[in-house]
Amino acid sequence: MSDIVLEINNLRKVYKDVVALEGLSFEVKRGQVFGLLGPNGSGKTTTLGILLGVLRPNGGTFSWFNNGSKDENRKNIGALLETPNFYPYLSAFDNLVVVAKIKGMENYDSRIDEVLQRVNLFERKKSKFKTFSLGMKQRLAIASAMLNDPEVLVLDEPTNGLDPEGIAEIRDLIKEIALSGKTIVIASHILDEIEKVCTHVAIMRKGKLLQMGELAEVMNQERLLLLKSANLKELKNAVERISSTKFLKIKEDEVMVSIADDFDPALLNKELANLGIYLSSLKEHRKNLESMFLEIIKA
Amino acid sequence: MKQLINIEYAKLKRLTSIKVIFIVYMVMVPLLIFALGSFFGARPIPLFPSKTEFWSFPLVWKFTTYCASYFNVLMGVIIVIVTCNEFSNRTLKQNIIDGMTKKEVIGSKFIFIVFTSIVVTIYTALIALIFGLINSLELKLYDNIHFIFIYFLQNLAYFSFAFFFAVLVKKPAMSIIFFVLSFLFETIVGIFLPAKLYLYFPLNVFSKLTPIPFFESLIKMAEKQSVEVVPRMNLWEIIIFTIIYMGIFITITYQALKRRDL
Repeated sequence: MSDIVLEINNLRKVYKDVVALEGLSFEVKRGQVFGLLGPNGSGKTTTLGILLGVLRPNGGTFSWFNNGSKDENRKNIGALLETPNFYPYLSAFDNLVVVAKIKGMENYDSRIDEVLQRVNLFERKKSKFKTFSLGMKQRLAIASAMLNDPEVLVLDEPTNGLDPEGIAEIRDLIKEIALSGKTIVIASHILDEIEKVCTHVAIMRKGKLLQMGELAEVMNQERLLLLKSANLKELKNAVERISSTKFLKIKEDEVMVSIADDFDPALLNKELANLGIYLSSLKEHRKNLESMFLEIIKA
Repeated sequence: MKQLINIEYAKLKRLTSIKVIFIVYMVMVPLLIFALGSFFGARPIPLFPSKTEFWSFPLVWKFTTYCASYFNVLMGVIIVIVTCNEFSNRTLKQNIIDGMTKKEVIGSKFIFIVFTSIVVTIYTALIALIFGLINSLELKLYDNIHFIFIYFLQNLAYFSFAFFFAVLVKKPAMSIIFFVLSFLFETIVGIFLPAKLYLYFPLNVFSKLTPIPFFESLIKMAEKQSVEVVPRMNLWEIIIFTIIYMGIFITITYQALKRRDL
């Protein structure tokens, strides 16, 4: 089988008065945990909706498993789109029976128990869906996505509505599934979530792709130091005189400078001491995905 | 096909509103047969058959399906509820995400329509049989029995119409109101249109499948009194038009769903 699980080409979607997607293209390879990142309204859910056959694109193509956009492809995809959608009058178990039948599974009873156990809903398997809390509904949706052990999971905001414990559990679950070699596509605006589980990210804004690549690549950046001393102004002047550092900005009560990759911060400390400036604090600063994201979005 | 039946069964086996509405149907149909039989059977007009004639073979088949057809609309509400539920719970969307095609979604609901029609028809046939067996002096069981099959077709037609409404309107309460009002609306429109044209209106065609049992004699009487011929179709024409309309409703429903974002 080919390595490419999903290929999107120039996808376009126009709603009545807004262009939701403007020529989106990317591909997802086998085994990747692919994060689709973007603020609300950037087109993440629209993209997934098209990929899952519920929205009709106005242009462009997509192909799952090198098999085009055929309906049968979706039987090999476990998906959670926007909200958990189930029959309120059916129990958790009976709801999964419906899904199992749609997926064409046979002898599904023990598998249903298994996935319910994995999301901690086994004790409530006979309770009707309408009696569930939002977090339980969300977990049932994830159980449903995993039900027939599909090759690909598509998860739209999978930790929506979960409490911190639930979020951690789902995150571990996603990591575990990823380790088993499954391909996962996650859309989220919670950057922490993407940062913790994804191998690859695509950042979207207003229906366009801004940046894409391996997480490490997108996160790759210059080294930064944050310095503190009694007199910030003096410190700033001194830093500007030292050739090995580049002054960036004053951030609250600290001075931010960038340094070369192989530069030893001890040297800077020494030079500043020579100039009569004594640092009260020197620390390396790593941008997290959040600040990267904000920079990319605003650029 | 078998898979679609399975899926539909798994979805609906625990839906109580279906059972409640069907029980109402089960109670109301014999009651109406009894009430209307007593009313017409009192012979307010001399050419009416007697009470026992209404309830005996062969007229009982025609009379039962005529009475039961009033509650077709009620059963149509089941179709509306079941279909609209799929939209309001977003389960139709989820079914597609899980791998069904839009054709299968429509197909599985049509299976439900056929199933409901079968159940309703069998029950109605049983009621007719019971009335007939109790009241008949002679067992002319098979005369007029084709009205049971015509009643089945009428069920299919009304339910397809209900399904069409549900898919177009999507909101349960609105769909039920529009569905019920559409009968009234068509009748009112019919008053202002020439009878020749109104003859071909879908709900009017469907209702003519189970006419009032003495409809023919009423019309013949009316024609005797005036020169004008009352426009009407024969049974085969009615059946053909019914099937054509059903086809149109199902096709529009499918096309609407196919083109729509869910």
